[in-house]
Amino acid sequence: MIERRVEEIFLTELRVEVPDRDTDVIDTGLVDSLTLVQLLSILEREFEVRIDLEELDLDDFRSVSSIADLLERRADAA
Amino acid sequence: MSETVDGETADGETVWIAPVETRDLPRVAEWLSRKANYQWLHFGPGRQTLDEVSLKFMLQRDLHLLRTFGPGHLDEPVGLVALSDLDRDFGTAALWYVLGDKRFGGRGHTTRAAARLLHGAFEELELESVYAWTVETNRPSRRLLARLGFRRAGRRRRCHRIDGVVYDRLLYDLLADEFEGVRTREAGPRSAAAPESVPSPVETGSVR
Repeated sequence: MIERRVEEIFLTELRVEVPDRDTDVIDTGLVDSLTLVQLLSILEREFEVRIDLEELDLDDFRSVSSIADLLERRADAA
Repeated sequence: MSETVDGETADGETVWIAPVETRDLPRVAEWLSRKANYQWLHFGPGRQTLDEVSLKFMLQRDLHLLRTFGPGHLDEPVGLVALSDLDRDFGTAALWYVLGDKRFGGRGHTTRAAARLLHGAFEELELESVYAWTVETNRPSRRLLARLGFRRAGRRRRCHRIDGVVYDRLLYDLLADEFEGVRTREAGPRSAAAPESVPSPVETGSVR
């Protein structure tokens, strides 16, 4: 469910079509650092989470799956 | 008197550079948020500033090498020197820099810090070529690049806008052996080798 919503965000808000949920969107060049900022902002708004600067780990944003994992961890911790 | 570009500043002070840490990000983002700095920069369409989050992501990517710098007598940084667009296969990168604390302008700190960064880039990363650009009216930045041995590689016309006025950007590049030559050259009397003694309102260069 979360993965599907993250995919939608990539497609509709970032205009990025991710071929696979495990595709590394950073290494493949699908998103750059500035797009990641936009993505983080959208995720925080959509999922009502807050990720502090100290906790910001690039690896959490590498794929749809890793982003979903991050959001699930956040939901569990809340 | 002998002086190397990555040695002491014009007033005999050493300059340190250090990896940017998370605690530095608010300060660096604040520097980049000032018009006096961001007017010379460009990070892509519609982007002339970088916030803390952008910087944090950049720190974690191997495309960027960000270093704060400061004079030897201070623990607090006064500016940022950076290499972006690092391509380790082709051995290229783009140099950019910001003097955050303008009280230190005109003392050669940014030049020395950039030289130390370049030295590491050429020696350890084995880069072939570093490129840079600056807006044609940014004289401090032009002086800095010239002092480091950068050569003019061209002019990108009417591609930069400040307060509605369109300017050209001057394009530069620097090869490893050219930098080594500058780094170790005999610079003559220190007073004659300090073109940056002219107060510089900003020392900002290129970014992507």
